[in-house]
Parts: sequence; structure tokens; C-alpha cells
Amino acid sequence: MIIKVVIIGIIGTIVVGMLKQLKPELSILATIATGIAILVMVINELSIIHESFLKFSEKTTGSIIFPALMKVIGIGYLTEYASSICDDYGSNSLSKKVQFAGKVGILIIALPNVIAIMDAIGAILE
Amino acid sequence: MTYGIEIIFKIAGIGILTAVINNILEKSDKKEIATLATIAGLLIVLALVVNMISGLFSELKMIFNLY
Repeated sequence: MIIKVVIIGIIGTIVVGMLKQLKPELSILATIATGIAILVMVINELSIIHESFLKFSEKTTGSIIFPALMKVIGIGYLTEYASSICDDYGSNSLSKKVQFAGKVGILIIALPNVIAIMDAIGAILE
Repeated sequence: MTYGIEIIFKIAGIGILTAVINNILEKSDKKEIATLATIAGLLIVLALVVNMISGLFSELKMIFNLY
């Protein structure tokens, strides 16, 4: 699996470098396409990890935290992808905005857990 | 639905073709058709990439039940 990813990455960068001279607009699309080709391959591996964690979390009390954890991983996954593409083509401000939006999204998802922890600590302290 | 290397070669092919067509049309001084050909090539690749993005998002939704 990793060999395929490496081959696609290298050939993708060669194609992007070549397209930069011929057609600069197309090089952005080629980068996005290569990124998606690699991401889709990684997602299949990630789903295997997801199932094994799911079985593990049913036994313990992780069943509340685990879906939120997977969502956070998904958001981090996507925002890193988008912001690195924006960085590649020079628009640093856009990439910062995408990262900021990702952080806000993660915070919103993690909020219930944080509140639960705070309540637990408050109960202990009393 | 895994994307192999052929997607990247397809995009490279379309890019080279549009560049060649562009040069030919410019040499035979048909500038406006050249720009149209470039835009057409760009749209084809854009449609392909949008298709890939929607595939990626459906996979993400299935695995991470993100949104």
C-alpha cells in the first residue's frame, strides 16, 4: 500500500512540475487530484483501525468519547489537506483561515466532554 | 473506489493537449479560439476533480460520520 502511495506522490509532483510551465491553472487541479488519490487510499486503511477501536470502545466507557474522537480526526484530516493545498499555491491567509475553522469545529465537538470533565472535577472538589 | 495513477496521467494528457492546441491556434492567429480551447480543457479537468472530491467526501462521511 505504501509503495503505491509513494509512486503516486512522486509521479504527481512530476506532473505538477511539468504542468506549471504549460498551464499554471491546471497544476492546482493536478495537486488536488493527487492529494485525493492518496487520501482515498489512506481512508481505506483508517476504516480498519476504526472498526477495531469500535469493538474496544463498546467494552469500556469510551462509547461516548469515541464517536467524537473519530469526528475530530476527520476534521483534522480534512482541514490539514485543504490548508496545505492553499499553502502550496501561495495563499497563506486562506490556509490560516481554514486551520482556524478546523480548530473551532474541533472545539465545538469536544465541548460536551470538556464540560463533563469539569463537572466531575467540581464534584470531587466539593 | 480507489484512484490509481491513470487519473494523474489523464490530467497531464489533457494539460499537454490544451497547451499544444493553444500554440497551434495562436500560430494560425485565431487567438479567441485558443482561449476557448484553454477554457474547455480547464473545465474538463475541473469536472474530473470535482467528481473525485465528491467521492472523497462520501467516503469521509461514511467512515467518520463527519456531517
